[in-house]
Amino acid sequence: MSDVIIEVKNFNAYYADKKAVKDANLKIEKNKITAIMGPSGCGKSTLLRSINRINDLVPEFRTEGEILFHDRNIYDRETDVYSLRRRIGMVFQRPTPFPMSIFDNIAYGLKLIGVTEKKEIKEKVRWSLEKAALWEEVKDELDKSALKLSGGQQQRLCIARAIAIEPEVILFDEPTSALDPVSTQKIEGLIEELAEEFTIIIVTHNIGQAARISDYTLFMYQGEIVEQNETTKILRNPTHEVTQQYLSGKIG
Amino acid sequence: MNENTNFSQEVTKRARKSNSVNKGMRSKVTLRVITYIFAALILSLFLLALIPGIRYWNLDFFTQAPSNGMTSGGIFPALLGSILLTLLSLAIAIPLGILLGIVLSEYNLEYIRFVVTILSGIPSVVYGLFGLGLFCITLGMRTSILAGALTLALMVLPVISSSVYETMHAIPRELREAAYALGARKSEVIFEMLVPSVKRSILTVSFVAAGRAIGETAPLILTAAVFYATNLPTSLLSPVMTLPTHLYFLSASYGESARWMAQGTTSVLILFVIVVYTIAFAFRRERK
Amino acid sequence: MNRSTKDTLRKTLLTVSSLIAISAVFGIYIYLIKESYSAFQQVGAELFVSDQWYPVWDPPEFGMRAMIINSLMVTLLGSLIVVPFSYLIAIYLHGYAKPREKEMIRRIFEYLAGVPSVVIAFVLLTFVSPLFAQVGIYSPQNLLLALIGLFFLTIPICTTLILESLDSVPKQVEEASAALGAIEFRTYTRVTSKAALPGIMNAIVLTANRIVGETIVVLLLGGGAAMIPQKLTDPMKTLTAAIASEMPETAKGSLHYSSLFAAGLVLILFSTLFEVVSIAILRRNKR
Repeated sequence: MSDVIIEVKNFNAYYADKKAVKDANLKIEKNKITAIMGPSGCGKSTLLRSINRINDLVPEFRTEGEILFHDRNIYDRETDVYSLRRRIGMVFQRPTPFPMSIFDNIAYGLKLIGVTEKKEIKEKVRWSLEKAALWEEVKDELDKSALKLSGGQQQRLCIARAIAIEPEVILFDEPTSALDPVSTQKIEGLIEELAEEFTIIIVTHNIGQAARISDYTLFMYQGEIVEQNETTKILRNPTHEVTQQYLSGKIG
Repeated sequence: MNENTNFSQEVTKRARKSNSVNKGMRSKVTLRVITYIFAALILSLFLLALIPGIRYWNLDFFTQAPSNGMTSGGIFPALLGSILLTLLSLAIAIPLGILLGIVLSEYNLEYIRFVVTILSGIPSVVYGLFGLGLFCITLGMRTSILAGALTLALMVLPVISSSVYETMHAIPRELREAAYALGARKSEVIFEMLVPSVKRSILTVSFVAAGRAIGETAPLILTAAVFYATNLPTSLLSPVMTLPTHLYFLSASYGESARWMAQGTTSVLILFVIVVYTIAFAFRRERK
Repeated sequence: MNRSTKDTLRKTLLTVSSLIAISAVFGIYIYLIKESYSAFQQVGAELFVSDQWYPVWDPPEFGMRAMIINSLMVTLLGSLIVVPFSYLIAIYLHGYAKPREKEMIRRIFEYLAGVPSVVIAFVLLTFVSPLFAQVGIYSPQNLLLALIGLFFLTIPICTTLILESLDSVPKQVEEASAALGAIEFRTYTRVTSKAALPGIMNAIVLTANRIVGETIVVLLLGGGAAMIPQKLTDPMKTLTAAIASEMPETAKGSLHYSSLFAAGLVLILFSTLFEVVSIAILRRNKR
């Protein structure tokens, strides 16, 4: 039996009066990679960002419905959103290194969860950089400013930073769209490895990427989840007309 | 670490137990209180400047010259002087400022930018010394409107040129290229396309500069203003009284007896500033 | 006027404006040096070494050291008071205030920025100075009062500049910090502020420059004693105050006149230094 750790129920999201996500219902299984696909403006990023409530930072954003994480609605009044975000991490579209050294970037998150011992911080920094396939490249220059790394390295740093605090789920918002093909490939491989320990939800506009790495895919169009299924099934036999059109490139 | 903590428990904030949420709330409230306290202090300052002097406003106040050792009369000469001086200095500074702004924006000359930055930081009283030395003494203008206007013009020049530079520089490259593609020369692209495009911001900054000019005191003490002008200015070479310098002289040299006039003058000055800046903001908003 | 003549005329005007700007800077320096020359010649090192500023005595003394120190001290103390509050207010406006709230408070600060220093000085002189006298402070105009005046004078530009720097940090970097579970305050102070550091440092430098160049506030509120204050409630006089208050009564061409120009020269050197630092900060940030 599979474990569902996130469940979205009758979820609607609005930016002021504009409805960005309409009546979404879905279940996310633990340790699987779920991809959310769709043309620009379909609401996929909004849906993703609602899961760790990072959209709370956007003025005039509001929601209806529930998102359950371990059977608790994360939108109820008693939720400690900061705790939530330590359990559900996020990697953004553009690499977002902090203006600090590589070491400090990762230590930042560790200090937030209360790790104070230098030794432990150093170990975790190494562990996360190794998991992000970046350790070998930067191990001798941990004090270097993170801003000096290449785009692909910066993104891997952001991934390391996210996994260092050992969340349960990692949300990826089009993580490779700003990167070159070589970096993209490296990161896709990374994400597949990470799925062994973490649950992954990835928004992507790249059909090939979804095909390559995801177990489940949902397809969104104009705010609604049009179709959701195992990736192989959806790509081979899309049941919805809109999905078909998207997959064949007729709508983008 | 993950296995053992019950997510449900950790994530629920029970009464006062959650650390982060409380810390977050506390910092927000503290910052809000600080901000509002200072905003309130600032508003009080405005009120203290504006309200007490209004009761001295009457027709005489605005049309008569001061008399009886500042115990009666009005501030007409200072009012006139301020207006004349501001208009004259703007008449010089605005065209020059636009030209200089164009140079900053359209000609990539590092040293000009450097020069303008230096000029923008020079203390007002130093401009006063320069005005005194060059205009009043060397060029023989003595204490006069002309010397004051030239000095003030120099002072607001960087303000105007910086604003023109910023708005002009922000115009996308493509618009210039389109003009060039029609066969225009550089000067034509500038004066016939770019300058009209920044018209509104020129208006905005003119009012800001006016606000600045009306409020300047130190340089005018040295170049244009006198404590008491027996006659109204008859020519550009006459000395003047201005509202800020009048206020300064009253504050520095007169005690309680002239307090009423100082208060009335302050109210006029702050009203001017509020009006002028409101107009400037209105222009600015329209542009956006 | 044909096209070609117009072109030449316009180019000439542009050149003239540049020349005016350049000559202004050089001109100011040259004039200051020229007019202060006799002070350097006849008074010499005493200008900078002595605290005794008695220009109208017989024999006159021209020691500016106390006033130089006062100018610097006022700048340092003034900045120390203004910057932290400006920073906190800017953080609030950047990260916590709702858009309309932010706009309204910004507007209040912008209006304050336009208030003439003489108005601020007068209000404090009329309403705060008597309070000092009531409490028994012997000099109702003193360093403290001047600092209060400087605070109101500089808080708008300092807050505005810091706020602009904070606002220019890309939102996604802030979101990345929030996504790790940081509370907003931590994000703004540890991440946003670090990213905005050059802008914040520039704000501090420009604020200091504004203070060192301020005349009327320190003149009307500072008390006018050419001595270094030992405590906050002592009166004092800065270089700017000396120039503005003494020059109108001074015989042009006299030694006193020349010494005041020397004071002006010191001032423009300070301000040029601040501006150069500001340019350096902004240039390093551009790369």
